[in-house]
Amino acid sequence: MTMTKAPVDPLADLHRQEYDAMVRLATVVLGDRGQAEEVVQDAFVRLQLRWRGLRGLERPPAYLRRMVVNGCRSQLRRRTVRDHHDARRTVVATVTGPEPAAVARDEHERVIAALRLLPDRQREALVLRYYLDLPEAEIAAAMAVSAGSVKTHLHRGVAALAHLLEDDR
Amino acid sequence: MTTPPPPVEDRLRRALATEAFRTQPTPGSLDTIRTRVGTARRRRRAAAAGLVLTTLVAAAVVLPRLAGRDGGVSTDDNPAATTQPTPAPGPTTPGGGVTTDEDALWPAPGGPRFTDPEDAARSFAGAVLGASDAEVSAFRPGETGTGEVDVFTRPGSGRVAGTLDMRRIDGNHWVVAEAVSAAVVLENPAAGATVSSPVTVTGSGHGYEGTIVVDLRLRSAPGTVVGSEAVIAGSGVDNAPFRAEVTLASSPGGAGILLARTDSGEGGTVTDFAARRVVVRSAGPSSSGTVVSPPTTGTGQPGAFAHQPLWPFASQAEADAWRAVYQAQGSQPWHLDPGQTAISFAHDYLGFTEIDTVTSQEVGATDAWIGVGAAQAPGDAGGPYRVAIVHLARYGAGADAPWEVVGTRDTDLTLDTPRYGSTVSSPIQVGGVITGVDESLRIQVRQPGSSQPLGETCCQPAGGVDTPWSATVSYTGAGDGPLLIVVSTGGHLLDVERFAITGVRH
Repeated sequence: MTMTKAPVDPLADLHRQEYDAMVRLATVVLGDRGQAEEVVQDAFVRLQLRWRGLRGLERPPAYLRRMVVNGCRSQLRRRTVRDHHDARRTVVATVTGPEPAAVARDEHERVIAALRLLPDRQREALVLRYYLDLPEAEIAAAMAVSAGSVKTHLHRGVAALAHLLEDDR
Repeated sequence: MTTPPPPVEDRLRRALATEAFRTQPTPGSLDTIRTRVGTARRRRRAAAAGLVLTTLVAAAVVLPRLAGRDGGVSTDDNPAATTQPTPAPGPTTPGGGVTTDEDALWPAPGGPRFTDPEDAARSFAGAVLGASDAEVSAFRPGETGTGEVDVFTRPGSGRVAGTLDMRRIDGNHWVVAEAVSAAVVLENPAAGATVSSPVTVTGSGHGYEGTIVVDLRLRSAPGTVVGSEAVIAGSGVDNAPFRAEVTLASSPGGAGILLARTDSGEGGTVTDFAARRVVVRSAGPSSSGTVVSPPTTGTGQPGAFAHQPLWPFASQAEADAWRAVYQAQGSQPWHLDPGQTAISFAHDYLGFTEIDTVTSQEVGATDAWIGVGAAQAPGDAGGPYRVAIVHLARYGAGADAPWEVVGTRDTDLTLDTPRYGSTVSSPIQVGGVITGVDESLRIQVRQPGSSQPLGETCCQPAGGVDTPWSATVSYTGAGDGPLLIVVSTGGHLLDVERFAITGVRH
């Protein structure tokens, strides 16, 4: 058995290859699958419109990642502004916060809860590195930062995560 | 002595993999994206058309004046040329040219009138699509007097089944000019064309098991279908062409609504659709008889079976034979229970002996979707463990028509190739998409009536996130008629944790 598939059209190919992974990435970053799907669909629509059916684009996945990361940041900014005007809600009202983290049932939930407590940039870098397995250069491209910044975010993110998980034990 | 915890990087990697596996994106997202791309492009074209028109009108106004100033022939003697430019025609997008309620797809002249385009869209969904509680989007205005409203598959789904092209016809009232979607594209007849029986309808589309139902109804009586045909288009994610010959029952003629829509495989939803207005010539009674009620299925013959029959009956004759015996003797009543039929199919016919529990039921008048699995999987703390959702359809009309397995609704493991309903010969190239870890795929080719597989291939490792898979499987000893292809995987909690099927013909 071979793991091959005949090419269809560029949008369908890109969707097949990247859509679910992008939704999962955005879900981890945003903590909300519905918002994640909106962000990813927006990215696909804009890519398709901007690049004439993706044919003029050399590396659609890289552009897509960049747009998804940007879309997530916009969502988080909107959420922050909204929460600023609504003191009853926390910044991550729809996701697992510190309290659920304390009662998280298993290892996976503890780690994800701790991840969501990290600053946005650190969380983005960690998800791109440890979920998508991207090299630093591609993480830098997706986050629109330098490779040096990626190293810093990863280093600090891992340290912060270790600290949070240590406290959680 | 205690074991030190693994490095935080490893814990994070495992947690992210688990979290990703638990996050299941909504099906149909590609269609939503395509519809949104199409909508944005139409809006751009409309804006461009408006810009060109504005420029031409401005030129028509300004250039003569400049000519007069330059000593040419002045048109100032004709005030109409400068003060009353020709009114702008509608954009050349789908639905263009609708300026009166007679030209509208919906509503009919003399019917309800809507000052709010969203109300007009809801009325269309209720009267034409049969979804009176359909959720519609906010109106998206385009050029003056135009705009769009999306109709969603179900409230809260966020998935667009079709986009309605709206027009304001008299400065105050809104009508639906046309309905479009990415998954169902109508080519012929053109909007506004005059048609007579039989109506040849061409287009392209894709949907659940590839089924597209094309029907025609009069705008004045949108609940009554005057002709219908179910055809097979694409069953994967790509559109495939279809051609339907719709025979019309007796009708007085007049404005008609040509509607093409997919069979979603889900009960109670608005499926992907496209619709346009045609003019139906008055027709006498056709050879196929009387007016039929939606949804009609079949391949040209109202009431024929729209699906590929897979199990337990190989033909309508077999189903009718059981029905006659049941009516006389009451034997084998389980054929009237979709849950029992689905379990028997998986447990007895396919031999997946751990499957003995109905995990979910969604039963409509003509279709049922039954979740089958185990009461509990060893090592899994959750409740019932679902292995597959089996799609069944009534084989015949009436409440004592038996249930027939016609497919599965697939998510983690799909079987997209060969196309549902296509004709194959050995060896078959099969394929689909899988999401899972350390999977082992087994593919079988079966024929109803034969208890043993006609061909099999096993046990190829597979896995990943929505990773395409493909394989070649040979078979021997098949007679003419339906073939069932089954792909299954498992070995972690149960021997079979997922399976998917498709129906083809030898």
